[in-house]
Amino acid sequence: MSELNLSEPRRQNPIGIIVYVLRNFRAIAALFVATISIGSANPKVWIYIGILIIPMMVVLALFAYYQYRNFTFQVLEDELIIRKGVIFKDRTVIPADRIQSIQITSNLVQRIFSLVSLKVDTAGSKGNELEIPALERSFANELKALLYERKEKTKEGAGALDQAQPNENTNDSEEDKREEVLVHLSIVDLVKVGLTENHLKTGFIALAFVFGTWSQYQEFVERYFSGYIDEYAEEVANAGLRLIAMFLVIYAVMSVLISLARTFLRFFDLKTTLKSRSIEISTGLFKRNQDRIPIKKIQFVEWETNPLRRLVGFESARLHPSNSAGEASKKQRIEIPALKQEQSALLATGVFPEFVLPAHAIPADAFAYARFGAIIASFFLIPIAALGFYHFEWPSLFVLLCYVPIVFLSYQFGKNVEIGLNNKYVVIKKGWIFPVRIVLPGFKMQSIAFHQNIFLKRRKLAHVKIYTAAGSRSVRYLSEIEAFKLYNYLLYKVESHTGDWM
Amino acid sequence: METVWENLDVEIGQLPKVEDVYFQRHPIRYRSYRMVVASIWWGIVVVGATVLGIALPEWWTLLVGSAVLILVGLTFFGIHIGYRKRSYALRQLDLTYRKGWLFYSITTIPFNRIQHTDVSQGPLERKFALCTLSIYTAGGSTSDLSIPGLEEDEAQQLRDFIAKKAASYE
Repeated sequence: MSELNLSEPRRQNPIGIIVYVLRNFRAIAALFVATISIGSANPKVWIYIGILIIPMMVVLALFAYYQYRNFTFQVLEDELIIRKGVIFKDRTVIPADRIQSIQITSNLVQRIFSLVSLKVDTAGSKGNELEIPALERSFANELKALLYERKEKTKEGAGALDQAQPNENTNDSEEDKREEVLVHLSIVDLVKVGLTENHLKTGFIALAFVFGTWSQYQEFVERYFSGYIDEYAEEVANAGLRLIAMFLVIYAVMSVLISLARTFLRFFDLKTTLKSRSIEISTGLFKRNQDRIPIKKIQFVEWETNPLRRLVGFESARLHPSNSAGEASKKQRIEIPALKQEQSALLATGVFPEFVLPAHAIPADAFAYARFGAIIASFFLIPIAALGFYHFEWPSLFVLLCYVPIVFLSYQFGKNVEIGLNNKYVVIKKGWIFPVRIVLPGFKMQSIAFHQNIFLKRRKLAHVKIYTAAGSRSVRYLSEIEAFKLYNYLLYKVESHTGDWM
Repeated sequence: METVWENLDVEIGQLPKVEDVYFQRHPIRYRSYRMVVASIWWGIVVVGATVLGIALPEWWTLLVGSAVLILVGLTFFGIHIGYRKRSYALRQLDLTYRKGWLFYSITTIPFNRIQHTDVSQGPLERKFALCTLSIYTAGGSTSDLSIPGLEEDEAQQLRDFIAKKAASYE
């Protein structure tokens, strides 16, 4: 039980004034930069800048002080009351049982002053989350605990009337008991994760970066290579090759560097704690995020890996909680990038009680995937080959050899697609080089769709798509009979399920 | 290949089959409605293509013209054939809608997952005295199901029925 007494309205940490001041300054930063850049061209403007900007900053600083002074928060019974506003005064009351999740975050400025933001996400209208931006971390943690406590209390009160949910109360006392650190990334692990990122993906970011900075070096590169071209006209083709080789090396190095940097920024000191009713994740180098995801809200978990990452024995997991207010911005963060096999198993059983992998699964038709790959490839291979034939005749038909790897890869992909299910869980596996594994509790399904185009009908194949509150996942090219069995069985699971899905 | 289902608490074969349910079709004027909508859309495209055809060299005109013709033909044929496929089925616990000739699909929403429903009617729909019933789940906009081309009172009845069913799970 928390001893925090917040029945009287309270202000935040006074250092918060600085946070507000810097926030307000940031709002006019663009204006500031613009005037400086104009000012550097025309020194006379500096005078106007002085006249304009300095009083503006004074006003903003004063404004920040009043923002701080007028911001109070209070916890009365089971309501959080926040008053704020300088010109327009605002009073917000949030009943504790409406609170969906509470996050503690801190950006660079806040970290310098060792303050944090407490963000309260309610299930109301979108993007309408409340923020208390300047609290000490220990205080924020206490406040968070207090709010959750009040939330549970209101639920218990309701639970006494409603006998349908006996598990809730027994779990309550367990909350404190179980607290298991699932992952705590060391620097070595972090480097491993960074090096085994999907470089193809980050490579595209690198590519955008290279093209962005290309114009700066264009002149230099052109001068350098035009010298080559002039002197060794016959080596033009060679120089072209060298350029490509150079480009590839730059591309590879950039990809790896960017992957590393991104990994350090996002996953520095990542710590995941498994509690009996929630998962807590704190991560980040400059901007530290603390997330608490109620296990009930998790709709499905998606594990993925790549050959490199498998080599170091890691796979990553992405948690998909149901979409609610403010969730969209949070989406990308709920990823645990490095899980060993036993940690994956722990996560699975932690999130999904009594989870067992289904022993048998329905496979997809691998040949259908191969056909699909061939059809898609034809859209660009045939025109390319035709154009090539028009210009270079027979040798260009070697382009058609591309069919072999494409069809092979599609076939291998399809061979690894399957959907398994047991009493409670659906497990979808797909992919060969980048295998993905999805675990989805059957009763969390929102709706289901069966798709079959006119060509699939002839072959008695079909796709099944499962919709959940956190997005949909589909399994393609199942046999029609199995698809219908799956469809009917999952509907039965949902319709016979009593109680909440969230 | 015979697949084995593990530890299921029911006999799969005994479950009610969605494919065997009685499906209710739309009133026949819904087909005319779709034809009118398609005519308006394709009218715009044909005008655009004609303008393009005047501007482009002759063999391009032929190419674009024949492509538009084929697509128009497919659309109207699809509407004609697809009318027989478009139908909905109501069961005790869920609502199913199926549609599509080239791309056939069946979607089922269990009543205990429905968030809310509404009935809407556009200006052209009003001319045909047709309504659209939209059903929303927590699955976001992607999982919403809308059943167009319902008789006005049919849509109301359906909505009331579904709303009552959905509310019973609260």
